[in-house]
Amino acid sequence: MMNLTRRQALKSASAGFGYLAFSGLATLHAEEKKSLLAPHAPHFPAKAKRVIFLCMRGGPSHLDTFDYKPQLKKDDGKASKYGAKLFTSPWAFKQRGNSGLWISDLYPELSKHADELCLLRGMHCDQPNHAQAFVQMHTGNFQFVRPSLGAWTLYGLGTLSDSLPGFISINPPTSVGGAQNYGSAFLPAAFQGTRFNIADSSARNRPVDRMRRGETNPLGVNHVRNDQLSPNLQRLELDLIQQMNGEAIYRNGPSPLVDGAIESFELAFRMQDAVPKLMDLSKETKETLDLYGIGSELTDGFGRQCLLARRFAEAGVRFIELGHGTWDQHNNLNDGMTKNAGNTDKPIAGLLADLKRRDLLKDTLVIWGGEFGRTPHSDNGDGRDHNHRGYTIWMAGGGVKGGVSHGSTDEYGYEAIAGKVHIHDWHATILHLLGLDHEKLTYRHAGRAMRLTDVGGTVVRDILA
Amino acid sequence: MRFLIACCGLLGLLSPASAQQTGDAFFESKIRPVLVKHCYGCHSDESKKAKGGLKVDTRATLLKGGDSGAAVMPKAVEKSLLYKAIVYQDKSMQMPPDGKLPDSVIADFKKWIEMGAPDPRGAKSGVPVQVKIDIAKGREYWAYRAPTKLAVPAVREANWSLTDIDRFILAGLEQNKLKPVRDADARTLVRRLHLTLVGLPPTPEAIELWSARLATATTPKAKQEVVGKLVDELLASPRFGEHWGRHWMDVARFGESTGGDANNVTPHAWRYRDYVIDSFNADTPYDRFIFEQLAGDLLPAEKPKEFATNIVATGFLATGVKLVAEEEGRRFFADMVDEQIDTTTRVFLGTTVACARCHDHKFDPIPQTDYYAMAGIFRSTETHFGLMKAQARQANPLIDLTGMGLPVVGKPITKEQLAKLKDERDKAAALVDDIFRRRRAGEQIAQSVWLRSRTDRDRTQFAYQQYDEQGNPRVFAMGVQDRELPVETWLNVRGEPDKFGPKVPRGFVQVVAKPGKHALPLTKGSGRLELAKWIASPENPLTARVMANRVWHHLFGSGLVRSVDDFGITGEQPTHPELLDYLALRFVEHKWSVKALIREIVLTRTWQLAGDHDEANFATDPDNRFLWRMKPRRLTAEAIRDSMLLVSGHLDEKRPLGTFLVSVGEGTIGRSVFEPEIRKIEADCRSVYLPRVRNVLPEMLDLFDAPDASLVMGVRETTTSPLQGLYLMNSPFVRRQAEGLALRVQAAKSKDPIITAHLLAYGRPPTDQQRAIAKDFMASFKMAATSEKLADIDRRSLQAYCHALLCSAEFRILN
Repeated sequence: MMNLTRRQALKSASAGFGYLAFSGLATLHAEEKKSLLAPHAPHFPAKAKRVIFLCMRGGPSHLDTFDYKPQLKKDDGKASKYGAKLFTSPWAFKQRGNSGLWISDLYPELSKHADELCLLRGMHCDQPNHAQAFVQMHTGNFQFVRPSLGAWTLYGLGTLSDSLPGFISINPPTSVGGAQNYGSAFLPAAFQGTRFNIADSSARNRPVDRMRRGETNPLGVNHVRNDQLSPNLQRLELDLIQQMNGEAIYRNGPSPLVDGAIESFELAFRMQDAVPKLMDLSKETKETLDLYGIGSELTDGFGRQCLLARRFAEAGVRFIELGHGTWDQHNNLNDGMTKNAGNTDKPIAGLLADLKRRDLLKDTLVIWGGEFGRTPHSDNGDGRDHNHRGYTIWMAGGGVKGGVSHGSTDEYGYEAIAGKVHIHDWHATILHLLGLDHEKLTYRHAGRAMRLTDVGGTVVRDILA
Repeated sequence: MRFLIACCGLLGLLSPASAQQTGDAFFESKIRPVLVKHCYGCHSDESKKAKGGLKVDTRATLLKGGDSGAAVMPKAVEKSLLYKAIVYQDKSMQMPPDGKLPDSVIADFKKWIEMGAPDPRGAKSGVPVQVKIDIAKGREYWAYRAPTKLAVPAVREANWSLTDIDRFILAGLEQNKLKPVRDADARTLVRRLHLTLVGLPPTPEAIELWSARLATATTPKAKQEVVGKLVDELLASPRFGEHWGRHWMDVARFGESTGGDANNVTPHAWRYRDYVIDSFNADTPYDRFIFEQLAGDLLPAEKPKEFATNIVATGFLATGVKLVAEEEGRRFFADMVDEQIDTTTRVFLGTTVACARCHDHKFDPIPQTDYYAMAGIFRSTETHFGLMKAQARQANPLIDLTGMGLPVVGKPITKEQLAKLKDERDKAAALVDDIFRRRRAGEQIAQSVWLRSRTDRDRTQFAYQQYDEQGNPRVFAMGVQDRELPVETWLNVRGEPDKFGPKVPRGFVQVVAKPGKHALPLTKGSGRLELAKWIASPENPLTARVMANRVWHHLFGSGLVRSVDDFGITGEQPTHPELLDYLALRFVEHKWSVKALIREIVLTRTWQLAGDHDEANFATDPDNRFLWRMKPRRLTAEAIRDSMLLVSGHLDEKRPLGTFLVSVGEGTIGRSVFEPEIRKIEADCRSVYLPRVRNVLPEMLDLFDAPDASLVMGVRETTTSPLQGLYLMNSPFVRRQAEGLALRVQAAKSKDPIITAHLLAYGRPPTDQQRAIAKDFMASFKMAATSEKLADIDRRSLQAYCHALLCSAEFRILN
């Protein structure tokens, strides 16, 4: 399946419908269809089977979280080489766990899992603008519309769930590239991520607040239930739709548009059953809810996202992205970071603990990070500017070494100087952890074999467990 | 391509000396001299040659390689074609051609590739990074040169073309060994014309009528005459402006709220919406359209209505995203001006001037001073966007156009009613003051009570403000006015409003202006009129090209320049530069008539091609860049919704007066205006008239990729998601349209309801296969419904069938 041509892909997705239409069969069931999304073997055996990406948009400061800079503390208030005053972190750093990783006091709960974390402290990307950097983090390229990391993952591995999207993005931003960040670009539309909107931790979550904002739905997505037709009758109608779509391909030739419609309807039908079950947290124990901080105002929003991520992971979703933000602290660094870390610390720690006790952490790659980091000098007294030349992303589980730190920035944290990991390298490493060779995971488009890492990317082998 | 580009923010960070030094030194001493001596002659910028598509003078081009693939794969000697070529392994590829290099040199290359092909040139490669902007040199870029009239190219297949546009296209096809597919059949063409020009499908009657007329046309010329008549009819329909006006609103980022940090409803923005629709219907010459939107308030006007309409047009500058919760007025103002510069330059010029706010543009020849030259113009302008102080930190009055002949929303009220409104307002305001005082005095009053009182005050204030002293409804508009005195502008260092650089005189973008003519010799006024004049000039190399390309984009699904909002160096290059120039010149020749331009393009053989797939063409040109067919595309969100309303018989073609947002009141969404209230709004009018509240778009429009109006969006995304499937299958809206369609089918009392249903929904009878599918479906559905003991089975089965027709891909694909 890996070197699937466009035409073969279309055949496997749709030929069944055309054929069935002509053979006069009136019913068609999902299992008879060969899907583009069927799971397939990776290039080589690997530990990680799925990804949970905790996406902190806005550019979280590495200097106040995971990149300890004693020199910055010493030179606090002095002029930096760029003029503006150096600004030490308001938070103390301590060594955590047996590994002794330096993590700030912003993350007391997460720090307890220090021995699971692999800090990539030499991250860098090409652009200090939110939109470009965010899109590059998601697609590898900020100039052209390219498939997202999740779409590539799905293309490489297929999905393990036939009743949920293989790639779910919870509360993605509508700005900074919008749907591009979970899009499939030139890959078949079936690999595109599906957006779920749930109550966000950026605002209060009492029912009255939710009513006021009105942007959420307890099921994450609207119109999950059909109150007009029985499942049996609805299935008949859906078969009719799919046969007409198949007939259109038979009549007019391959069409990515029809192809996408076929996949989306099948999935939509099955989601009607699966989504309400998955979104229903009522069967979770109080202990579990507490573990994620669900029910307490500060952590409820992101806690729900994290618990859902675990549930999606269990249900076979291949790539799950959670959204939190904004971490764009040009001003009010103290308040902003306190609030953001407060929203996410316990939920993330809960997620790691829960995955671990369910024996899911070993094959789930958890990633935390934003589009870039911040400057060691102060932006507006109590804030930091964008910094794409050096920042930290961390990973845990799924075949990475725990309790290690890879790479470093200069004495102040301006720029990655050792163990540098470019976005392409990071992508190559994630794919590698999933058993995919980033140079072989290609798709022919516009006359060449395109890949997530373009012409770059080196797997960071030092961090592989 | 790992080039580093600094843009906004961190400037001047230099790479430190790194461990790569050894590799770089090796490259400099052993590799570069060989490349220069033996390869640059045929493979470099310097020699202007790239034989076999290969250039070796940058790291990026070397890695990218030429026609045969990557020339160098770091650390993979065997896979590096350059190495294969220099060892003379393969007879078809031996380099350099004049003799094999010495073994020691070949060994150096091997070592170098094994080292990972270190190459310090890498940092400078890829997209060229502007070091110091050379305006004169910048003017040489194609987009900044005046469009030139070129001879229509010669083509081999002389009889194929109907027009010169066809010859330009055919020349491209022939050069690339592509063959155009057959012409579209009559039904397809009639449906395509309707959906493309008015955004609604044809009625079955219209299809029959026009297909019959086309069938009687025996010569291509006669056929085009028939098509021309249909085109004229559609262009004259008021539905045209609703569809094409919406295209314009995508780029004019029209929205009915401020978006940004505190999303406030702007209940008077709709006047700009109607202005745009009316302008497209009236075929206002595009140059005039530019004048009105940028400087309508400064244009001479004979009648009050013309004056008022011109003011409404400047809503273009007032309806963008605003951060109205910003505390600092200066920063708010700078950001608003930035948004105006960004929108104006991208919409009209396809140029990203706003990139030069903090520093010189990194790619295009636009120095930072150009940005501030334009900023001076907008800073000398007062933008009126309304809002109330209680709701937004940043607010200012709307422009009152009462009594000037613009449509009035609402009816006059009596003096008593007016007094009552005033009284209510006063009481509500007093209550707010009272609660405020009590809270200050330490009394515990619930936040909800406080918010409610403020909401009431705002609501009553809103109600009272709607009338003048006589009780007549007021007419308000968002728009701009010149300040009393122009504001002097200094460059802001790093874009920060409080760090000043040199003073910058107001002016235009230098690279697009005539040499030495970019500064405005201003004595009075903001300079907006002069700005409009400069943009709306035939001399401006970008304006006509950018608009012609937008029209092409909407007609074909892609522009000749695919990045329709960016004609700069990082944008895409035109696929047919000569044709683009031809269209730009024709556009100006036809007095900037958008309708004439559309007419000319749709009356080409190229535009009337079928959507057929062709294996051979597809292999060479999968993206249809050379237009060997009309690539099928999905309808826009609005067109899908409007088409459903039309075939269900529910569409109300009458333009609603004003905005439906009147029902939700004014204020911040989430504080005094609630999202569920906005989402509840549903109407059977065309989608263009539904509320466009940023971040709260009508659900169906949002799911099918209508833009959120936060940015200029010349190209919409086309996504496919199961959420669309869920919406189509389960939403009450689609179900209601299916019921309407089923009623129409029943009412027709035809012999075969399936045929009627297909004619109504798709404009053509079902194929044999579809009839067979339908028969099977009806039988199984009825059987299953009987076993479920449902009543009214005939109606239910027909409804389900109609529902499936609306859900099938064919309904929303434009062939």
